Amino acid sequence: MTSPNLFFRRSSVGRRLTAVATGLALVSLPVHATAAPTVDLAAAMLVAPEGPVSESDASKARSEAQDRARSLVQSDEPDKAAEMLEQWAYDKGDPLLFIDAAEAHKLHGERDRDIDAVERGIEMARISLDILYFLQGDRASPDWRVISVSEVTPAIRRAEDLVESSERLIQEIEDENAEPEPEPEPEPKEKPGGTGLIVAGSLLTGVGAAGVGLLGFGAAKGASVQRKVNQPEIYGDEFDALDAEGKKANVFAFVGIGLAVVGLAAGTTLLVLGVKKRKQSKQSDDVAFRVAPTFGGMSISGRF
Amino acid sequence: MGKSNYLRAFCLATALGFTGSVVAPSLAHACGESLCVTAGKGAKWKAGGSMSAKQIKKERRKNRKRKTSNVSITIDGGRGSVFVDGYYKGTAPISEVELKPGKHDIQVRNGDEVLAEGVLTVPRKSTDIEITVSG
Repeated sequence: MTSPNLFFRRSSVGRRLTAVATGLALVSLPVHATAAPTVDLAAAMLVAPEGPVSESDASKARSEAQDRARSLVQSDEPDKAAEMLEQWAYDKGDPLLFIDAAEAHKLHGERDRDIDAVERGIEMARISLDILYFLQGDRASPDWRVISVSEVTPAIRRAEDLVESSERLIQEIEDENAEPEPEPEPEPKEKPGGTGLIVAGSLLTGVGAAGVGLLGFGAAKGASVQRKVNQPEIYGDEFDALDAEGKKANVFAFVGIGLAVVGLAAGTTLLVLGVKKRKQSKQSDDVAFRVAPTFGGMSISGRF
Repeated sequence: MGKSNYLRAFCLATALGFTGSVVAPSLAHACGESLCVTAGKGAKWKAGGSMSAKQIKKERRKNRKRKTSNVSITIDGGRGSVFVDGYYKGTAPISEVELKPGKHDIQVRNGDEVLAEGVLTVPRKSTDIEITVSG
């Protein structure tokens, strides 16, 4: 009578019953037919079928609920469908409606990646299993024919499959939600000690070398001018121009001397200090000086 | 009489065929197999007992005009659904289940596992009955 899957399969008999049930509902339940009932779980849990229930009555009520749930699901409102089905399931004590409610909760959870909704669905499926196993036993009232005997075993299978697939879905969502472990921040690479001194020393040594170059240039220029001035035919304005040029060359030479002395002295000192400091701070092989004989005499090599 | 003596007496009664009847004295707390009943005077739980549909109907007819008692059922450390007189009554925890005086067939189950089943006798005088089932 009832299709095994509420949302995707409908038999022609089911359609006819649905039409009848919907018609009846429109007459007898105008309020329910226009708005889904709000869920009051506390109250719902207390409501139970009080008197005899026939298969046909249960089936009609179920079809009505399923029709309304289907339209809610089709309008992408599985959460409302789940609430409505849950309420009806409690009202009727219908295990198939509990399974339908579980499926709707699962759809909702799947859409919104909501674990609570999926768990709620699992509880609905478990209630359905409670009822189905009870109906298989000998304590069930013969007047409570909420589903036919032949429907019990397939419904149990359906509910158990639903519990399994819902548990897998929860695992899937949990995996998605699991935050990737924060990668450890790379520790700032400490500069080996004495780097500043070595850099400064190198710069000053460079300045000293430039000073030596300037000294050489000034001296060469001065010597050249001196040679010209010493010639007897040079006198007057020409002599004065060469004299000025010679003075300029001397200035270059003196500045070069100053730079060379200061730069080389300070640069060498800083380099030595820097290397010493590096050696002290990092007793490792990173800084290694090696003095070794080579073909051309001694060689000094190292890394810093 | 120590706790172990109570247990021995309970087992002896079960062996003699009294099948775990627990008579709850006035607002007393009494436990049988996997179930405790806290109730007013006269409430009685017979573990393992059952009632036929005919007996259930007879009890219902006999007590239909009497005042109801409120029964609440909780499951300690688990879940389960409650069936009373052959019908689904709700899923624990449930409260304010209204039962007429007389005998009622009760089963609490979690899927295919029966957590507790038996016959609860509700006294004529309206009272609150609390049932706790071990999960």
